[in-house]
Amino acid sequence: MNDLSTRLLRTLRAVLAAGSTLEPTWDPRAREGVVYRGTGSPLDDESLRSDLDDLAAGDYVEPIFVDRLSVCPTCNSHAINVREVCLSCFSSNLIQITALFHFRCGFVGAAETFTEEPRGRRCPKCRKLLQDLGTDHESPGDYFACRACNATFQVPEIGARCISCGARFAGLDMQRLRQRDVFAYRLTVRGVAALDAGRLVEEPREAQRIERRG
Amino acid sequence: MKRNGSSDVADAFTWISAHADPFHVVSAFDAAGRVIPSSSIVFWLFAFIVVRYTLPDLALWLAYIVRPRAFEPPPLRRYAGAEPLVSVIIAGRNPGRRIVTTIRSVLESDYHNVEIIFADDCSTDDSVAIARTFERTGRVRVFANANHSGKPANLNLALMFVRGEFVFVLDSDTQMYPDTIDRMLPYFEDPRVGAVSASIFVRNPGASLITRFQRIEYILTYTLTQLWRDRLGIIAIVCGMGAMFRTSALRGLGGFDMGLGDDTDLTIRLRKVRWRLRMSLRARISTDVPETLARLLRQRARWTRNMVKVRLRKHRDLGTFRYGFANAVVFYDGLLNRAFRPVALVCLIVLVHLYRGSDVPLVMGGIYAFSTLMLLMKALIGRDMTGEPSLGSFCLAPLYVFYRVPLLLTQATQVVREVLRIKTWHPYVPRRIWDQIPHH
Repeated sequence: MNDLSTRLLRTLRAVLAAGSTLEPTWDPRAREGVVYRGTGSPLDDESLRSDLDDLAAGDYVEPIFVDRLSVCPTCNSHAINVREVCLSCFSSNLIQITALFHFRCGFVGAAETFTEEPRGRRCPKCRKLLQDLGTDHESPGDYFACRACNATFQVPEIGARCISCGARFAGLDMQRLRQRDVFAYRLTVRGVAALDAGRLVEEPREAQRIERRG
Repeated sequence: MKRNGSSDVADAFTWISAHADPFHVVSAFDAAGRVIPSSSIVFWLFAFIVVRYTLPDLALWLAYIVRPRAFEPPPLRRYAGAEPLVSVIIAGRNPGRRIVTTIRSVLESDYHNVEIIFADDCSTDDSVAIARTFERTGRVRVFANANHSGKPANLNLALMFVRGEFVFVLDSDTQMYPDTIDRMLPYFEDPRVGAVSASIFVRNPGASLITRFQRIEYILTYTLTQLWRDRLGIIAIVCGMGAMFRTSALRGLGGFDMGLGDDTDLTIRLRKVRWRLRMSLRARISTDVPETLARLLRQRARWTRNMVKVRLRKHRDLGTFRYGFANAVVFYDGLLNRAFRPVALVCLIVLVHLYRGSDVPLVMGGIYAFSTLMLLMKALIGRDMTGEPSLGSFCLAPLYVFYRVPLLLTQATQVVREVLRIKTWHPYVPRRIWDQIPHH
């Protein structure tokens, strides 16, 4: 058995020790945000991730999708703050406003523009008191307003900022963020057989591994 | 009026055979003149129509020939090189793919500092999804109203989000030309100007015979009329299909009022607070018009009822001279043009039939000949000033009367229905909102 086989068998034993399924644990201190406890090595240890991929490729473990992480293309950090941003200036300084529409005079404005009175809201255009929502006025919907550039919109843009390196992404730039899938790994029948035999069915070679990763 | 038809007819025929070729148009005109004596009310009715609907256009043309530069936009001073932000607001329900043409026409404008706000009136098709594809340009914002509320409410919704110093109201089935905004903005150099309207062209003239007639009609009854009204300061409607407003003027009024005839209503409200209204001959927009007679009649029925509701009921105080002489002229001319004329036409036909007996074909032939002559004259004026209607449209001139008469008859019917308040609600405004609006 070569060194690689020995390491893969050790990882396979760790999967067995975790109850046949190795679950990821979220850890913000880890560079990639997730660790596999019990293996003695955090996931961002490049060799462990490669080992698990090799075992999955050899059908010793079955990968089960858990979640998808966004990773900064600049610094590879998972610490990405995703939030709603302005369509025009990409600022995240947004407020949500509710619009009201008064049937009688047609006035449409933010709810705050209607004066609050003990008996209800008063329309700034026709000075009439609003009765019940749905009978003489209604809300056309909620909207966002940007405090930075005064733009208003209904559906904000999604933007992101890498907390590690400060890189900003918005609009089409969001496509630059890399996506990384996080899996749990479950021992397969073939994996159990390999553990019983104390060796892998096929001796993995570094060359194959490099070829597979392209 | 006494009935002496047979002798008049004999006189007329004698005169025709003696003086002119009976198949010539002028003969019919002269004969009509001979059988309608000046003592007849029909004569004066006809004479008034001729004066009202011919002289202003002729005077306009003369002014255009003498000083064509007076019809060009004024020079830019304050806004020269400044390009203030113009917010184009579009309200529509189920515009579908047409919204693409509309939005693109604005994005392709020579005037670059524009933002487009599309307020969707709870469309049931994919209009919102289509419009949202333009949001990535950073110049378009789409607001999907959660409820069907009608056009004025959605224009007000869009107005709420306007950031520009000027607002361009554009229909979802209408498009602007690259130079439209550039041709309208200079008029706002005058701080008293609150709104500027554009020349309207028909975008689908080849769709049917009805649209071909409308191509002529839009030039004759809208563009030319607007132009001489502009000279006299009595513009009665800033058309909602495409017009530019000073945002402060629009906001100062609280936006559009609910109900039918939102553009007429807004125009009168602007007039009441003494904003000046202008018309730009060189600013063009083009719009889709109804392609079938049934749709056209429905549209005109709605327009007519709007006029009665807005002009005769809601803003009848305009006729008291409280708002100045020009506003009173607008009121009485509106009354004459929108309510009196269609009814007068019906009365004219009835009168001719009642009192002229066997002269009817001759009289009607004379009126037809004269109307066609007037039309050709106006069409030539329109062609000279705007390049429209096309030369091919002139071939339709002999048939134009047969297009206009049904429209005027429909208008007459609708005036009577509206005055008698018969079935006043129109689905243009949802019922739940209609019931809350004060009806004058």
